[in-house]
Amino acid sequence: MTSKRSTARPPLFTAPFSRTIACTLGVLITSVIVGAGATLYLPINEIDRIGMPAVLFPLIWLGLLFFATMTRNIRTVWLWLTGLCTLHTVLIYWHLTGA
Amino acid sequence: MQRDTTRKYYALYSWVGAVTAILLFIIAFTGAMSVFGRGELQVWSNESIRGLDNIDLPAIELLLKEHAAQVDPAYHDHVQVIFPGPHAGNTLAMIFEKEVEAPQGGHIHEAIWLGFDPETLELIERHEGEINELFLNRPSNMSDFLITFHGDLHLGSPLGLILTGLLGLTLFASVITGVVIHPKILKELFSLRPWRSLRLLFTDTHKVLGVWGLLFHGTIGFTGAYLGLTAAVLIPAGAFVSFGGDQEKLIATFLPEIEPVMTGAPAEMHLTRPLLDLQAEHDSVIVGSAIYHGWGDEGAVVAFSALGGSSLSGETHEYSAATGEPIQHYSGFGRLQGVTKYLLDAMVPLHYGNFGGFWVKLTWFVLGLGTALVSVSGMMIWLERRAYSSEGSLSAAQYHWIGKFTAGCCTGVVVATLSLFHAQLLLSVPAAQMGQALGTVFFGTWALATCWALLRPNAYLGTRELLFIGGLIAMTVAPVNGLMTGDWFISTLRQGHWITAGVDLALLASGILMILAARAIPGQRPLRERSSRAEQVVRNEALNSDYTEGATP
Repeated sequence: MTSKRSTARPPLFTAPFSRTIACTLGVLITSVIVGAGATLYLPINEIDRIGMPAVLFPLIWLGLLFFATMTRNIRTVWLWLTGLCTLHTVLIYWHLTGA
Repeated sequence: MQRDTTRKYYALYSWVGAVTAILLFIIAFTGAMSVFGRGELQVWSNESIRGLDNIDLPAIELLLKEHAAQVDPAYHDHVQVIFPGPHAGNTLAMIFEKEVEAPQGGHIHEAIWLGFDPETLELIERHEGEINELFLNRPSNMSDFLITFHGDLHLGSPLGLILTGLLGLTLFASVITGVVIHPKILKELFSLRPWRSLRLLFTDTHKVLGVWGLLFHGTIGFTGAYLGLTAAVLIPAGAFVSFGGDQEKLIATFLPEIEPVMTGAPAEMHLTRPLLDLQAEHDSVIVGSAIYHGWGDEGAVVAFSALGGSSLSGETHEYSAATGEPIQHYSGFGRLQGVTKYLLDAMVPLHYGNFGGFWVKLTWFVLGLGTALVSVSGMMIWLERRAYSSEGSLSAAQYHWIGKFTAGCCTGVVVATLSLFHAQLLLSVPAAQMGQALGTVFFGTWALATCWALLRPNAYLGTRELLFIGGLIAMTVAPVNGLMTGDWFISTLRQGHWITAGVDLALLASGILMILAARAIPGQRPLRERSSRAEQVVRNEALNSDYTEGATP
């Protein structure tokens, strides 16, 4: 006789509501801010520095979407998204205010 | 771990597809039609340019000089001529612009817009105002209507552009996740089994069209996302960070203004000489417009915008307006440094397929229809799995309503698009109100079709009937065209109006195909789909080939 094993699987995604918000609004806002902020530090000529983040915006968004979907711990997702947003917002602020 | 990752990718693929399928079908179908928008449909929609073979350049040059002499010289900042034709419009336009300081900062361009009959060169319209407003308010036709609908769903900027941009992003994500979850993707290139079961037909259609058009779907998604979000999000964001919010400065950085070296010495301006020279030098180009910078001065430059040259995107050819000597030519972003220019130049041509003539356009059209079918077949699979098995959390009746709504929206937009051809021929309204009238016909037909599908007992019957109606509408375009404009199919062939004849013939063929498709679709879901054992085997086969064990989003 085989031993009885539990057939219940852990849910595929933890925190589905929070993750949905992270994958939609969170990823979109972060990718826009990262794309805008990246124009300040990419080590290439001025035109490419402004143009490349805009042209490659779909890739930035897709990378963040996959990260937000695949990462098991939703706190890690939010930590990275808010961290990236904060870092780039501060960079933009410094640049605009000349601080 | 690996299995969980694949299941997550599958869940993402499935839900992104289900949420966006209807809108994606609408955008992809109208996008496929828009491939012919700047060209074939533009000519078909405008009786005045259907038979326009040549334009009288010397007469146009004379006319330009006459009117330039009449307008206030302040309007000589930019003098523009838009030639009538498939890539421009149904009139010959001359636009005289002056740049003025805007009260809120920056500049605005006030303009005098003169429109002439392309054959008689008689002045038929005169407008004054801000240049962007004049462009937005110019008379439109069904071709313009379709292109705008594809671009922003007629919701305008920023809402419409953001929406279509986001759809591009989701299509791009679906393509990448689709590749990840189908490890044996190449085997699916030839896995079409149309006669075994309905669900298998949906699954195979989805996979075959998806795999064959993989590169195209990904490109369309990527470029669509960029084009949709550029004006609404990316330019404002880039301008905010790099130019303190000055969007004008950002645009000027990427598309620098032509700065003629003004001498102060007056000179006669030329149009015919440089244009004939350009056409002799580059015989494959189609010139859409000419803009004079520094009108009347010895150092003035005339820049011709042309399609069909050696670069993927459109080209600008600069000539001395006084001597007619060539100065330089470059692609749209060709004067920039770095690699961005290549990417920027490629975006529009790769999205609209307007870089290699008719056959590239036809390929883009067919692949665009493929994108539309991939999205709707994906939705049908999603619904089939939920309405007729234990998956999903809604009742079977609720899934049936979703199915009927999907059928109505998707088949309805096809019927509504075809009704635009009739509307273009039959509506007798002033040119300025044509866009609004076309909108009423389009959205009215679409709403009626959707309601019709919702009222039918099932999605199959609704789809079948709407396809039949659409087929009839398409087949009757050619005779209605003959009745209303006198351009009967045979006479257009005799006169060599190939574009008009080609559009009529293509619609006739599409109508026949739609009616044949309608006849092939059952009036209800076949009963054997539900109960036979063979179905169980086939279902398992389809499920197994789709994703790894137990991947149920």
